[in-house]
Amino acid sequence: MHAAEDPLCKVEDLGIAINGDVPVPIVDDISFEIRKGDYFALVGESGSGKSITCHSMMRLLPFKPKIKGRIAIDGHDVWSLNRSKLLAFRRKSVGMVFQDPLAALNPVRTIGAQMLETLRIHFPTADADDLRNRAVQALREVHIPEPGSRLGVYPHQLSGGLNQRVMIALALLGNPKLLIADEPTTALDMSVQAEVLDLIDEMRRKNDLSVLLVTHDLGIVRDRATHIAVLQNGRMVEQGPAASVADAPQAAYSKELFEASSVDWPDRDQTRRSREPLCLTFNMVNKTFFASKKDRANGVGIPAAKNMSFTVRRGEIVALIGESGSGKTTAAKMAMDLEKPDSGDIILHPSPRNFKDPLNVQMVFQHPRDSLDPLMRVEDQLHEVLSVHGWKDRGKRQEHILKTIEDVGLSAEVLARRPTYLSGGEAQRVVIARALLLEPDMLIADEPLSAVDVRIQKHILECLQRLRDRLGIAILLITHDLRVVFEIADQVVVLRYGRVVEDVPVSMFTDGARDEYTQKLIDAVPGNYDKDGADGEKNDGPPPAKADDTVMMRVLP
Amino acid sequence: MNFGFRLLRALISLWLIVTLVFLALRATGDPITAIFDPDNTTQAALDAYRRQWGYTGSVFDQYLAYLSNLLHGDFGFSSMANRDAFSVVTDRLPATLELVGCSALLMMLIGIPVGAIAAINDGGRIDRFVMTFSTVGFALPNFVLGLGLILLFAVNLHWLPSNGIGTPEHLIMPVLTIGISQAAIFTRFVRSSILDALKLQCVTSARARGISEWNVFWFHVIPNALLPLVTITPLLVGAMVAASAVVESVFGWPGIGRLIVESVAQRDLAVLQMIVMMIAAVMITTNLIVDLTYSRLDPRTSLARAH
Amino acid sequence: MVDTVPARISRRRLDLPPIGVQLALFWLLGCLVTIAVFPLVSHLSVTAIDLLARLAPPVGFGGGWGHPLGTDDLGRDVLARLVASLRTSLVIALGAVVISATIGTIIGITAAHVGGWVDQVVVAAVDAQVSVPFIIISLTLTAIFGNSLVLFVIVLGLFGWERYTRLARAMAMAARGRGYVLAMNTLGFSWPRIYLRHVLPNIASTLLVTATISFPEVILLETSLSFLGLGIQPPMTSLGNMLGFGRSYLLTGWWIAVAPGVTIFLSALSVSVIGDWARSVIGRT
Repeated sequence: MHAAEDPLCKVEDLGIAINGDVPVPIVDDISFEIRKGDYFALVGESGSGKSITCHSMMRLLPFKPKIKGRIAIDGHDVWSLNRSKLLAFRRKSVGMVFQDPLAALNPVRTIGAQMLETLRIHFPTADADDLRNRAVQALREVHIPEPGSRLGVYPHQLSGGLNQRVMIALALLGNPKLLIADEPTTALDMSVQAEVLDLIDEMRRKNDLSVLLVTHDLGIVRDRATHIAVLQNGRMVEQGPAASVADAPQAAYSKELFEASSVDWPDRDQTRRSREPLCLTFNMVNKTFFASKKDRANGVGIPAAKNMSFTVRRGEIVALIGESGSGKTTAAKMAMDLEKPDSGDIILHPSPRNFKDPLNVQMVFQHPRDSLDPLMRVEDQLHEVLSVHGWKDRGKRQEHILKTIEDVGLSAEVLARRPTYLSGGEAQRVVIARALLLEPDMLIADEPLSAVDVRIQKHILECLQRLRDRLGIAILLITHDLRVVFEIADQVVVLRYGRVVEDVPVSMFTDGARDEYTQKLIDAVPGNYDKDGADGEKNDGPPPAKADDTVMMRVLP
Repeated sequence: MNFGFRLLRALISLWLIVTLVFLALRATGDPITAIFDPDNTTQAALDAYRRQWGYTGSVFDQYLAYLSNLLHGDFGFSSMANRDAFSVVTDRLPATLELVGCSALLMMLIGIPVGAIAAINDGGRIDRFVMTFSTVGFALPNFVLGLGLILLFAVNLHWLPSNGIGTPEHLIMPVLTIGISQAAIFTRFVRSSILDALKLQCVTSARARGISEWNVFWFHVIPNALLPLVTITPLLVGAMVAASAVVESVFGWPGIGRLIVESVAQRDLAVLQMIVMMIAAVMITTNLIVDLTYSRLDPRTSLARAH
Repeated sequence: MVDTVPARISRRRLDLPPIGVQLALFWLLGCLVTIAVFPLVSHLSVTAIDLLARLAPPVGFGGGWGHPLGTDDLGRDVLARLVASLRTSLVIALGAVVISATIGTIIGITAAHVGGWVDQVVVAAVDAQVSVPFIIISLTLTAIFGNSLVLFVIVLGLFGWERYTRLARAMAMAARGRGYVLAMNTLGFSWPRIYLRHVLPNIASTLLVTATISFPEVILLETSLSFLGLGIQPPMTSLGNMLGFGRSYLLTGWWIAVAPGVTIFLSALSVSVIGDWARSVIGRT
C-alpha cells in the first residue's frame, strides 16, 4: 500500500548527549521509520531513553544537547529547522501528548482559554464565536461530556482521564500527521487507561493519523501497535512488526521483558478456599473521612470502608484490589492499627503457630527506600531490629540475618551497603527481609511493586510466593494491578469506594466474574484486547483455565 | 475562606499585638515613672498623668482605658518630644514612605528584568554573573554600602549631600542603598520563580503546540511565576522596614526608622509602642492583601473539588 | 516509575571546590588564625589610649608600621581593635546560631510528633514570627529590658528559630508519614530511639545548611544593632560599634570605618559562599 512512498518519519543513527565538559550520552545509534498509518510503539524500562528520544523528535529537550544523526518528519529535517519553520512544524506536522495531563495543562488558565490560544494560531482570521464553536467541537470529538460547559473550567477541576482527552484534543487541533504520545496512560487509573488508548485508536482511524507511543507497559503494545521497538540503556535492542516482536522476541533483553509482563491467566485449580486457620478478619468495618467539621455534621464524607468484610488465612495470598480511592490503603492501615475503624471489628487471630501468642504482623510499604534509614548500612539496620526485640547475641543475629537475606533472594553483599546504593528491587526486598526477621505470621504489603520496573516486579512476586509456599506466611497484598493478582494471588477481594464488590478465589474470579465493575477491570487489563477481532470488539473475557492450555495462555486469545 | 473571615482574622491578630504591647509595657514596671522622671515631677503631677491615661485602678481597667485611648488616636505622650506620640510619629511618616516607596521601585526595576534574564539564561555566563552579584549584594550590609557611598560621593567627590532631607540629591544615596541591597535578594527570588515556571510541564506542552516563545513566556511562564513571588511580598515589606531603621540612621533621614532608634535610645515607650503597632498593622494588612490576591491568581485555592 | 539501577553507583570523589570557595575558605581560615594568634604575637593593645597618635592613617596612606591600620580618635590601634571586634562578633554569632538551631529544632520535632493543638500553636507562632522583621523585635526588647550583654545574646539567639522549627517540623512529619519512622514504629522501636538515632542524623545536614545561611545574617544583625548603638556596648568592641563610631570620622579618619566595614563584608560573604557550595555538594550526594 504505502511501501513506495517515503516514510512519514525517519530517524537515522540518532545520538543524544547532554552537553558539558564530559558529555553524558543518553541514547546512541537509534534508527527507525514510521510510515503513514503506522502505530509505532517505543518500549523500554525507565532510563532507557525512550522519553528523551520522543521529545527530541519535536526538539523539546529540557537541556542543550549534542545531537548526532538525523530526524526527518514530514519532509523536515527537524534539527536544522530555523525558529519560524520549527514553529510551523510543531503546529502542522506533529502533535504531542504527555504523561501527566494535569501537569501538562496550565493550572492558572481555563481549558477554554488554552484551546482558544491554539485555535487562534490555526485560524487567525476567525472571530470569537467561530473559535468557540471549534473548541466545543474539538472537545466533543474526544467524547468529553457537556463540552460547552467545560470551557470555563480549570484543569484541576477535571479528572485525569478528562484532562488527557483535552490534551489529545489540543494536540490534534492542527491536524498533524503524527501523534507522539509519551506514556499517556501511566498516571491514570487502569479502567481509564483503556478508554484513553481507545480514544487514540479512534482518532487514528478517523484522521488517518500515525502514532508513536512511548511506554513501559508492554501489555498495551501487544494489543494495539503495528510495530514495536525495544530500547535498553539508550540503545535499540530490537524492532519489527508488533506481532513478531511481542510473540517471538529475538534479543535476550526483549525476551525477558515480554516474559515478565505477560499476563498469565492463573492455572490454580482451587475453587474453594482452604481450611487453614484464620489470621485476619474484617467484619462489617466502616470508616469515613470528612474534609471538614462542617462536612462531618452534614454527613458528607469520603467512604473509605463500608461494611467491609473479608478474611485472610494462613498460607494464602489475598489480593486487595481497587483503584485509587477504593479504600484499600485505609484497610491496610486499619489492619496495622494505624487507623481506627468507625465501627465493625478487625480481629487479629492468635498466631497459627501455637495459638497462644498474638498474631505477628509486619508491613511492607510502597516506596522501599523511604522505609529505610538512608544513612545506616543495611546490616546495621537489620541488627537493630533484632536487638530491639531482645536478640542479644550478635552471632545469632548475624546467622538469622544471613538466612533471611537468602530467603528473599538477595546476596549477602547488599548488607554492607547503604539504602541509597541499592536498586529499587533490592531495597524492596531488604524491606521484606526486615519484616521477615521477626518471623511474622502475616505480611501486609501495600503496593509493593508500583515503584519498581517490570522485571524486578517478577523477582519480588517470586519472593512473596516463596514466603507463602515455604514459610506458610499469610500475605495481604494491596494493589491496583490485576496482572499481579493473576500471577500469585489465591483469593481476590475487589474494592470499590470502600465496598467489597467481589471476594472469590482467583480462578473463579477469572472464569466468570459476577460484578460488572470487576469485569470492567479485567477487560481493562492490557493483554485482553483482540486486535484481530472485527472493529476492535472485545472478547467476552479470558478463556477458562485448563491445564494443558498453559502455553496457549501466554499468547493472547 | 472568604474575605469576611480573613478580615476578622486580621483584626484579631491586630488586637493580639495591641494586647501584647500593653502587657510588655506593664512588664517594665510603672510606665509613668518610665516616661516621666520621678525626680523632676511632683507626685501630684504624676498622679494627674496617671489618671489622665488611665493608669489607675486594676490592670483590667487600665487595659480598657488603654484600648479606648487607642481608638481615639491617643497613643500616649512622647517624653523626648514633649507632645503627643501620635503627632510625633505621623510627622515622620511621609519621609519614610518616600524613601521606602522609591527604594521599592528601584528594587523592582533592577530585580525583575535582571532576574528574568538570569532565569532564561540559566547556567550561562549572564546567569552566573547575576548570581555572583546577588551573593555579594546579600553579604554587604546596607549600612556598609551606605557609608561606602557617602565616602565616595559625598566625602571624596562632593557630588551628593551625606545627610538630611530636602532636595532630590538627598534622596539619591539612601534610595540607592536600600534599593540595591534589597535588589540582591529580590533578583534571586525572581530568578528562581521564573526558573521553576520554565521547567513546568505545561510550558513544554505549550511549546509542543507551536506557541511562540514570546507567548509561552507571557501567558504560561509569567502567570505561574507570579504565584510564589506574591507570597514573598510580606517578607520584602518586612525587610524594607528593617532596612529603613538602619539606613535612615546612616543618612540622617528623618523618618520612622530613625525615630525607632531614637525612641529606643531614649526609652520613649509611647512613641515606640505606637510605631510597633503601626508596623504590625502594616504587616497584617500586607498579609491580608497577599492572601486575597493569591486566591485570585491561583484558581486551585479558591475553588472546591473536581467535578 | 523508578528503577533497575541503583540510585548511585559509587561514592563520588570530592572534586576541588571552585576558586571562589577556595578564597572564601582562605579568608575565614585567615580570620580564625589571626584571632587566635594575634594577641600572642603582637604588642598592640586594644585599649591603650595614645592621644599623641590620634587619627593616624594606615600604612600606605601616610602612616607607619607601628599602627598598620591607623588609629582612631583616641589613638587606639585600629588593627588590634579590629581583631578583638572580629572575635567578639564571630563568637556571638556562633553562639546565637547554636542557640536558635537547638531551640528551633526541638520545637519543630515536638510539634511534628505531638501534633494536635500544640502543632497548631507552633505553626501560628512561626507564621507570626515570619511576618515581623526581626530587627524591630530586637529593638523593642532592648527598649523594654535594657542593654545588657546577656539580653543581647538571648535576643540574637532567638533570630531565625522559626526556620529551624519549620524545617525540623516538616522533615519530621515527612519522616513520620510515609517513611522509616512509620516502619520502625511498626517494628517496635521506641520513639526516643527513632528520633535520636534515625530522624536527627538524617535532618542534621539540612539543618546545618540552614545554619550556614543564618550565620552571616546573624553577623549582619549584630553589626547593625551595634552600629546603631543598641548592641554591643563599650568598652566591649564589635565590628558594628567600630563602624558606628567611625561614622563620625569619615572625613578625617575613614580607616576607622572602612576596616571593620570591609571585614564584615568579606566575612559574611565567605560564609555565604561556603554555605552555598556546601549545599550544592550535599544536594549532589
